[in-house]
Amino acid sequence: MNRVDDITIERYLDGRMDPAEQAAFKAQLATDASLRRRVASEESMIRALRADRSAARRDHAELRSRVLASIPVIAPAGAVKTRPAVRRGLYWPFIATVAIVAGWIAIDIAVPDLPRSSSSSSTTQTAQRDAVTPQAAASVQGISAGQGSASAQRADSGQRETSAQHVASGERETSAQRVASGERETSAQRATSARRETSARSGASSIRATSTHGVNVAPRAASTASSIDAEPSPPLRREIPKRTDSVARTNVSITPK
Amino acid sequence: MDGFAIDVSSIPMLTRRTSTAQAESDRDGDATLLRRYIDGDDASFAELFDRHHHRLYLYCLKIVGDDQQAEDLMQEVWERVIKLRLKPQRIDNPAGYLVTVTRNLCFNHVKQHRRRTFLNTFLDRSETADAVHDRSDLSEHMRHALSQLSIEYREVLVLQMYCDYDYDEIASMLGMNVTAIRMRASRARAQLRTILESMGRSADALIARSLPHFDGESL
Repeated sequence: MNRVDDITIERYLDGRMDPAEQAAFKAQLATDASLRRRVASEESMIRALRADRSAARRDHAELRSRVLASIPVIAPAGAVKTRPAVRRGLYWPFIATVAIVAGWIAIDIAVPDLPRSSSSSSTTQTAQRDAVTPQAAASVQGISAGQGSASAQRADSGQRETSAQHVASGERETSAQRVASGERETSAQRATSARRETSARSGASSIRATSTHGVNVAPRAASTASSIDAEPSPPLRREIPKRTDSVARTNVSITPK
Repeated sequence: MDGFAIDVSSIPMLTRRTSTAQAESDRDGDATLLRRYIDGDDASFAELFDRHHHRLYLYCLKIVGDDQQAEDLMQEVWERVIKLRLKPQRIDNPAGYLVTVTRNLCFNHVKQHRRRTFLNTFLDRSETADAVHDRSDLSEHMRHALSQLSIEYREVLVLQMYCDYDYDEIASMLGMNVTAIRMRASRARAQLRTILESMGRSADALIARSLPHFDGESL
C-alpha cells in the first residue's frame, strides 16, 4: 500500500476531501495502525497549536482606543479634495509664470529701450532697413576713395546686411541715437540722390577723379561709383569706366602715378 | 491494535475554513470599509480594526516572540493605515495589504534585533530541560519550540494555524505556489513536533496540561 503523505492526512483532518476520497481514507485508516498513529499525532499537533492560539488571547481595548483616538487629527479626504489648485500640485506652472513675468519686468526696467511689442519691433526694423543705404553711403563717404575697390566692397557688403543685424545693432542704439542717425541718414540720402541726378545728367559717362597719388579706381557700377565719388579723396584718383555689360563687374587697377 | 485506537467517525474537522465565496465577500467588505474610512468614515476604520487586529497581533507575537514589541508593531501598522487618508491609494485586498505591512515591520524588527534575538535564542537553548518542564504553560513551550524553527517555517505555520489564513491566501501573500506552502507547513509541524518531543513534552501532554486555558474554540 502506498504511504499516505502528511498533506493527505491534513486534508482529511481539514475536511477537504470529497466524500468518495474520505470514505476510502477511512477504510484505510481502519486497517492501518501506522496511519492511525500518524493521524493522531498530526491531530494532536494541530490541537496544541490551536490551544496555544486560544491562550494567546489578549485584550486589545487599550490599543484600540489609542489608535482610534489618533484618527481625528487627520483631516478627512473631503477636505483634501477641496484644496485649492495651487495646493493640489499645480503650483509649479504658477511659479514659473510669475517668474517669467517678474523677469520680463526686471529686464524692461533695466533696459528701457527694448522693443516692447512686435509692431514696434517691425517699425524699428523698417527704420533700420531704410537707413541701410545711407549708412553704407556714409561709411563709404568716410572712406578714402584712394583705398580702392576694397572700400567699395565694404560699402556693398554693408548694403547686404541682414535685417537681423540691423535689429541687433538697433537694439544697442538708444532712441535718441536712432533719431539723430535717422536725421543724418535722411540728409545723406538727399545728398546722394542729388549726386545721382548730377551723374545722370552728365550722361553716366566716366567720371574721373584724380587724386594726388594718381590712383585709378574703377568701381563696378555707376551707382556705386556715384556714391564713392560723393567725397573725392584728394590723394587718390578714381576712374570709373563705363559699364560694359548687363552684369555689374568690377575692374580694379591701381597704378601709381 | 497497538493501544492506539481512533474512532475515525469522531475525528473533528480541525480547522475552520471559510469558503471561497465568503473570502471574496470579506475581501470586498474590507475594501469597502477602507474606502469609507478614506472618505472620512471613522467607524469603518474601527470595524476594520476589529476584523483583523487579533490575528495580525498573533502573527507579530509569534514572529517577534515578545508581547510588548508585538503590540508596538501593531500600533505602527494601524498608524500606517490611518495615514492612507492623507495619501489615498487603491487597495483591492486590504487584508493582504495589512499582512504585508505587518510582515515587513516584523521582519525589519527581527533584522534590527538580530543580535539580541540570537542572544535570547542562545539563552533559551541553554535553559535546562527541567527549567522548561517546570513551566506547565502551553504558551511557554510553544514559544520556545517556535523560536527554534526557521523563520520561513515559522511564518507559514503562524499564518496557517494562528492567523487562520488558508493555503491559497498564504501562497498569494508570500508569492509561492500552494503546493510548496502545503509542503512547508507540513514540514514545519513535523519539526515542531520533534522539538516538543525533544523537550520531553508531546503535543498531547501539552494539551492535557493546558486544558484549563483551552476552550476548544478552534476544533
